[in-house]
Amino acid sequence: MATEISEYLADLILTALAHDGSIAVPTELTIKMFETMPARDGTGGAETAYTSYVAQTVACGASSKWEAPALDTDHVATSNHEAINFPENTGSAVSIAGFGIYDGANLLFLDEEAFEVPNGLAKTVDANNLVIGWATDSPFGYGFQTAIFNALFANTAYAARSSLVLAQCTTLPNKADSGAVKANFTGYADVTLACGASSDFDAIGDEDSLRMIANTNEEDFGVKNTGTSQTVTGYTIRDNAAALVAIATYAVAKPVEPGTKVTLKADSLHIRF
Amino acid sequence: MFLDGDIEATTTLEGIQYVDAFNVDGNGQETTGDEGTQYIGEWSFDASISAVTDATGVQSVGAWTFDGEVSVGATLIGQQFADQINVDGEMVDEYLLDVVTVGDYNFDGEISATADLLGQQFLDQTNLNGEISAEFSF
Repeated sequence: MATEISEYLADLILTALAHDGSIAVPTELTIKMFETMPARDGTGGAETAYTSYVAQTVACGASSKWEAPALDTDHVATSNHEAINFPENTGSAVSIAGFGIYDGANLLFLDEEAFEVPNGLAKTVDANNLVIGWATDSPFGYGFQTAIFNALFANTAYAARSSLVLAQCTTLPNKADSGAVKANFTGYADVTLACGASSDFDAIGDEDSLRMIANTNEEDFGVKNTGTSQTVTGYTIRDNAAALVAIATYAVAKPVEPGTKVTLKADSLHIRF
Repeated sequence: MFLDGDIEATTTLEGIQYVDAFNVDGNGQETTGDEGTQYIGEWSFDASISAVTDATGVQSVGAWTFDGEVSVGATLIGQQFADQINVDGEMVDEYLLDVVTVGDYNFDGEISATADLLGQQFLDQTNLNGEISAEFSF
């Protein structure tokens, strides 16, 4: 069993990050039950049609019936504020393969969850039992996780970012964006990648069955180090408002020796969903 | 709905209407309802036998049998499920959240089970992760 985000949602997030798009607040999200799951791109699949079945909706926006997205130990999550009651099956029993969560016609999430709905029985998802959260090992900061969920489940749209700023760090921040120490060797400078209509990122593509954006050009973090050696442990990605988007940790800390510089190679920064 | 020695609970029985102040103890009970006449009256639970009657033709609860020190808590949507539940033995504190599975459960002896619900699976399985990689030269 698995839960996935759709290609539509992946594209929505990647577009807001690197291109000229935003994530609008849905009016409501629709919960559908499928006897055959659709693909990540929303194609295929067979929504159940048991007698009396009706897909259920959960409001978003100002009167959202989702809990306010919030940090839950090590990831941001939300859940349904009220029970979701699918009608009683008044016909033949059906085998459900899972759920799809939609914004209108656009698939957002897929959850494979097999169960039966026999004749005479209903299906209820109790309040707070439909929990949707970020993976605990996600490289994205809590602020970014919250911002995306606020757009999807609450009432704050996520605007397109005008740039993303990469910074080498000697000490990386935590996901709450505390404790960062940026590299400051002589000659160092952050790399700023333009987003929006004239993006420094390629168009969204596919990689390893995920949706992906990659930087177009080679970029230098300043010039060669003319000072002393400094060891960097990874880099941060922040948006044009300096809000932490993501943290990337090097498997092995890397020294920037005098006479060298740090260069981001073209088509090497891959952000994937 | 909790049926227990000293437990008092308020239950919403969809289709039977509301049963307020449902209070069942070892020797007696009190049941009141506030909508119509369809609420369940005269429930009785004691150490050995209990019988459930329904004055209005809802009928579906009549097959419940409780023996011994049984305690069962269930959320029932639609009273039609009730007659499929047979509880014997010493099972306590079952809380059936998922009506889909209620009808299939049969409790005997000390067996206990909790119905599956969507619940945590979502949390555990949610894959809103994303990956970042980059190639640098130094």
